This record gives sequence, C-alpha cells and structure tokens, in this order.
Amino acid sequence: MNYRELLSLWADWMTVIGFLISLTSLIISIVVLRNVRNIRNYYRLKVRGPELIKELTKLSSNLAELLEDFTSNRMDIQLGLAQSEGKLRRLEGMANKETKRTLKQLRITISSSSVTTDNEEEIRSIYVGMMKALEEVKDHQKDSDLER
Amino acid sequence: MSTERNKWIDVIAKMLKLTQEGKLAWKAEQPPAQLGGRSDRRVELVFTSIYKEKRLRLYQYAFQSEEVDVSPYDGSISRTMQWRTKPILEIVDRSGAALWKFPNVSALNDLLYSVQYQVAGAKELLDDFMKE
Repeated sequence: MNYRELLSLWADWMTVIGFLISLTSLIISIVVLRNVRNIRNYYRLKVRGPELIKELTKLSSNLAELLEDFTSNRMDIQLGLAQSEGKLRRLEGMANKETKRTLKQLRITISSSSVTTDNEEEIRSIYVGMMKALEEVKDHQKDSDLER
Repeated sequence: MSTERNKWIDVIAKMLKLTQEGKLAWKAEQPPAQLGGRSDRRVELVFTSIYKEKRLRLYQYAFQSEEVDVSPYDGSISRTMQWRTKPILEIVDRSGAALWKFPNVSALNDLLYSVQYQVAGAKELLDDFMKE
C-alpha cells in the first residue's frame, strides 16, 4: 500500500468517524432540547399553573351552579365555556404529552359544542370532563414536583 | 389510579344532577357528637339523604392546620394556625356512624353547594322574588 492509498483510507475512516460524531451530536441536541422544553414547561406550570387551575376550578364550579337552571342560564354557560376554552389552551402549553392530549380533547369538545335547549346532557359531560382534566393536571403537577 | 378517580367524579356528577333535578332529596341535620367536641375542628351542619337504601351524609369539615412561612430575607420561620375546609361525603349506618368515605375530588364542593342551594330553598326564593 503506497502513501496515496493510505491517505485515502485514512480519509475514508475520518469521514465515517465524522459522520458518527455528527449523528451523536444530533441525538444529544434532541435530548437536550427535549429536557430544556420539559424544564421550561415545569417552571411555567409551577408559576402560572396554580392560578390557571384555580381559575378553571372556579369556572367549572360556576358551570355546575348554572346547570341548576340550564334553560335560563344558557347565555352565561356559553360565556363560561368560552372563557374555559382560553384557559385550557394556556394550560395545554405547560402540560406533558398525556395531559396535553386530555386538555386538547376537552377544548375541542367545548369549541364544537353550542348551548341549545336540548343539549344539557352534553354540557354536563363537559363539566365532568373539566373535573377529570383538572384532577389530571393536579396529579401531573405533583409528579413534576417529585421529579425535580 | 386516574380511572378509579374518574369513576368517582362520574358518580358525584351523577349525584349533582339528581340533586339539581330534585330526584335526590337532602335534609339538614345537626352534626352527631362524634363530629364535634374539639376546638381544632368544626362541623356546623350535615346534610343527609337516602339513595337506594344507603344513607349518605355530606358536610363541610373545617379544621385548623399549621402554616409554615420561611422569610426570604432572613430565613426566619413563622408558624400560624389557619382554618381550612373540605367537603366530606360518606355512607353512614342508622346510628350515624361513618361506614365509608368517598374519595376527595373537587366535584364534591359543587355537590355541597348544590345541596345547600336545595335545602335552603334558594331557587324557590328567587322564583318568588321574580313573581313579585
């Protein structure tokens, strides 16, 4: 093997090693990026979460109260649901994958529903959905605190 | 865990619906002796109902708990006693002894509000005022 062939072989190996290093760096970057995003979401949930949870709990309790007289309170129910939708969207951005899915599903259900005289049951199921989602968010918050 | 908890939310939401529709009637009673008698806890009134031969008791349980505050400036610790409340729903026997307590989910607060609303006759009062 002459000098030129040896150099070529060395260059090939260096290319392979370079490629592997780039691949490893990419994987590390993705892992770091994911961790940074998790830490950011954790602090957002820690700082803004309790207040949003409190506001959503208040809105869901209001909804339960308004359901005492569904027909007369339809306008207020519609308004409360619209407010809940915005708060759910904000909470979504702080949640983990699983909780985010629950919140998004609930938000879509709310946005596609309209408060008419014959859909009291649908609105009641939204109330139940809100209760379940809130408990899930609270659990997620407790789990995040334990992980840190 | 979450499936189990969701089941209780469904049950309490169902109770809320039945209460609001007047199908589950509640009445106010004085709390039994076992719920009182201590200065650090308080129950003012209990609400009872019977559903499918099971006696239910719902009340607001007030208790004192210690709050610990750490000063961010000098790290000094201050302790204060504060009253906290939580709704309790339980199945009781004929003598009023608690047999089983429902898990504490936030929907219980809404049920308690609705029961108070029903027992106080708030809806009838509002209707009467509107008729005047």
